[in-house]
Amino acid sequence: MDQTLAKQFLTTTFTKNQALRRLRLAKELLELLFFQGANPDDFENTFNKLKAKYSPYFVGQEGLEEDVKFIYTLGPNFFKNFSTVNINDQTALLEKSINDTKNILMYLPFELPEDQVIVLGGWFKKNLGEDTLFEINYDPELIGGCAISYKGIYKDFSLRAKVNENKVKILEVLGGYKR
Amino acid sequence: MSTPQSQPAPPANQQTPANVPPSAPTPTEEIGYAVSIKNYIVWVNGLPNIRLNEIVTTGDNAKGVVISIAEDLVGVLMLDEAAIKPKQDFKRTQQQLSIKVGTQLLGRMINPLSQPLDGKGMITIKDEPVTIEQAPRSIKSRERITDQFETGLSLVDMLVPVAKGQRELVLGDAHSGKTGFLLDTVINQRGRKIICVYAVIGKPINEISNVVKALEANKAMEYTVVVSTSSSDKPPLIYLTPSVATTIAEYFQKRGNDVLMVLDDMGIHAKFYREISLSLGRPPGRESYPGDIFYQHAKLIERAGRFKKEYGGGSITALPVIETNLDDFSSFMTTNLMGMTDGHLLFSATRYHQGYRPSVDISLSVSRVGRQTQNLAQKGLADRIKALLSEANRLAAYSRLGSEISPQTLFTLKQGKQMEAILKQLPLNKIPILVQMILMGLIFTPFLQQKDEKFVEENKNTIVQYLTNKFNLSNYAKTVATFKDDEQFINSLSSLIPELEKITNAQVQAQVK
Repeated sequence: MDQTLAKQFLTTTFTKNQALRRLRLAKELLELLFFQGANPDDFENTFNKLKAKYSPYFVGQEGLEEDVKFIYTLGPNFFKNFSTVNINDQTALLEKSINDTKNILMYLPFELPEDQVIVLGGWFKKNLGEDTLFEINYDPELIGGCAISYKGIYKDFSLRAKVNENKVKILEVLGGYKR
Repeated sequence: MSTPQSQPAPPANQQTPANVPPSAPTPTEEIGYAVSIKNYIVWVNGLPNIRLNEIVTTGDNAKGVVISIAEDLVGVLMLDEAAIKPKQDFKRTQQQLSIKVGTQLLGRMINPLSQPLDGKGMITIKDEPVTIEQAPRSIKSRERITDQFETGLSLVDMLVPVAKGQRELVLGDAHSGKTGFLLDTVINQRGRKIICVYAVIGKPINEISNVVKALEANKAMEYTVVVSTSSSDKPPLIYLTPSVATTIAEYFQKRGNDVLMVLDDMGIHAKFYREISLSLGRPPGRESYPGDIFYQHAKLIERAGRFKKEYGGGSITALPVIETNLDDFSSFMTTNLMGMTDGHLLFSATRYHQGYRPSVDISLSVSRVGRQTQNLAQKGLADRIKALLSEANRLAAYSRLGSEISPQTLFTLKQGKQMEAILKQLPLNKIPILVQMILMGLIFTPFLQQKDEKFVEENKNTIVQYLTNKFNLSNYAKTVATFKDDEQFINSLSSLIPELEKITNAQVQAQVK
């Protein structure tokens, strides 16, 4: 697998979920290009078919429109690397590259809006390297901040950790206010 | 911002502040995520510094033990019932798999997680937990085996003796009297200051219930701990049962006690370990057992032995059990266990159905250590009895041909039958070793030489009762210890004969009346 393909795929992809969603769309486009009677050289028309299939669901599924647009930005040159012979191997390797990419798990007490995902993902890529993805885990017990898990080490940067750390002191202080 | 990786996890004792419940997240800890779930085995990624046999917990506090460490995945054996979701997080506890052991366990039936199964309430032990998986102690901690372990059964104590600290395999077909022998052995330890640890491994519930009922009915639970898993328990628990039983046995041994440990049965344990290994994707070997099955059993059996005082004194006598199939004792697991024990007692279903109790096949049973604990008279007598039984068996085969039998042959055949009548011992019938010796020695004295096997059958109990209750055994034991051979011992029995004639005649007259 040409590493540039994976690199191209991951440059503007920020989360692992996003990467896997986009890979599914790319696979669908490849199927349209090679196995559904479309002209493999006619990228524009084939992409429009894909867009037409998904456009009814753009409202209500945050990020889907962005994902479809992303497929378009990959362009015909990206899809020329695939053929009926290597399509399975190439997509499997692309999936493996996604799974092998540095993955940072972020625990948040709320769901991050899609525009914030891009901002945060951009920050991770800028500071930790282009080949970085992150994933969001919902933890309703977190307060004031986030926790991060990377390569098996979990670090809680939230207020919860500080509260737990100073639990005895806090209870002592609160105890002073007892009636 | 520094990367999370650049901040290593602090030691466990600094992680959890006082009064914070263990489930509360600590600022920094090692974490892993479930990537594959197969029944009770979960493969987890992450956990970079995990160790084998360490306990890991999920967010819901379901516990698992690390049983396998691959390049980037950790195999966790789930001990608690829990619904594991994809990407479920697992945290390190920095604790090895351990249980709390104390004298409070005596009289109780527990599962391998030390939870009571007998409905007698919680077991509160204040001592620190003890790690289950421990390496066997080295040779320098061990003492020469010198004391006989008294089972109370004539056939075993005289002919295939077991010593304190010996590992003696108990093998035989289904329904050949193995469990009966084990129960008798445990029950016969009453009043001997021996602690018994009985591990019932993956047996049907009714069998477990029968074992416990028998022990309770004979007041043997007072000095016994039963560690049990039924065939319907999860394989991880069944796999842990013998390790837990050994840990409990070691606890009592380290306090100077002589311990009897029964592992019933190791064949079932091997089958469950095979299931776990195959589920973990380990390559199967002979009969699909994993390559380390010998090691798994040997490291348990090696924990038995007799130990020096600085290592607690005391001893662990191990009786691992394995069920054979149609008297085939050359199968893989059976020969493995034979290879790691100091002898074996072979129980024969054929002998069992012929009415022999215990149904041990003497010619195929071995004890490599027990004999060194017997005195000279005992050894000589045992040799003489074995020779007699072997000769009687050989002559019995000839006599079936119908040819004329010489008086000498008839006499040997009669003696053989008398000996078999003595060796037959009904359940719950304990006979002290010296009484066993006297009873067997009498065969070679004029007292029994003039009588038939029917006399032995009818009067055996009367003689045992007299010798146990009215005869000064302790004085006689001191005399027997000075004998150089069995001949001296047999000659010394002549002084007993008039009294024995008197009590047996009285019994015959009572029966006639």
